[in-house]
Amino acid sequence: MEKLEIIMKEQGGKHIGIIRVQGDLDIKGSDILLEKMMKLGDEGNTHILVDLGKVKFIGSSGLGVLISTLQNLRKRNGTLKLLHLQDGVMEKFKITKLIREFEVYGSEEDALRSFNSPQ
Amino acid sequence: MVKGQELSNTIIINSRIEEIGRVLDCVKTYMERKGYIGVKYRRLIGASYEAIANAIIHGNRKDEGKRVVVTYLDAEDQFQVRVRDEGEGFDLSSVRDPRLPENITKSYGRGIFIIRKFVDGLSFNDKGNEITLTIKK
Repeated sequence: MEKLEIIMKEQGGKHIGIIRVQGDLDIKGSDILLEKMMKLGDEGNTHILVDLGKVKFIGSSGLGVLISTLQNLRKRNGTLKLLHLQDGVMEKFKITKLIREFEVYGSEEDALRSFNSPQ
Repeated sequence: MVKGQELSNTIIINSRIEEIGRVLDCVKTYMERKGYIGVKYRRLIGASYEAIANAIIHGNRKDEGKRVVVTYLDAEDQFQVRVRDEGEGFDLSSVRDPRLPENITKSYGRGIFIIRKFVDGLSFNDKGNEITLTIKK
């Protein structure tokens, strides 16, 4: 992974942690992402939007980190949504059927607006 | 048997996750030089990543003293990547479908499934410590 940036935004009274990932979500990258998401969760942020627009490769470890975090956030009435999936990344979500588990958005505005609705 | 063998190259690495990228860069460089581009070659690299990661993590249990041997073979009608570890071997029949409701939310168990979906052929040696991934050209 080359870069990971976290921005906090408020939407509909909720604090949304936007994580922008740049580079591969390989094993190392997935570990870094998991660490950051856990930190956000520990700080009480249960709504996360992960922007994968600059991720060309995601391995099974990356998929695992995202689904396990989604599960953990759901237990706390939170959620994890995905933004800007590249073709190669989308393909992995589709063949593993994980696409059914996540809300995926093509624009940040739509993604943020979706947090207005009750989870 | 592989028909019309043209080239075979072997790379040996220690069981360190950081080594995966180095191996795949070698394979990618070769592919690009030969003009092997497109979705199926990208998928083969993705499948090879999973295979090498499995060899390091599950096969050799991250024991840096153990080696992983990666061989790529460029033949007339196919391209193969073989990955061998020093572990006890893997039973392909033990792999569960990660798409099933009881498995879908698990954080593990997708590597072999992705490999299977991304290549034309997948086989193990008898011991189960060498996987061969094949794509047709």
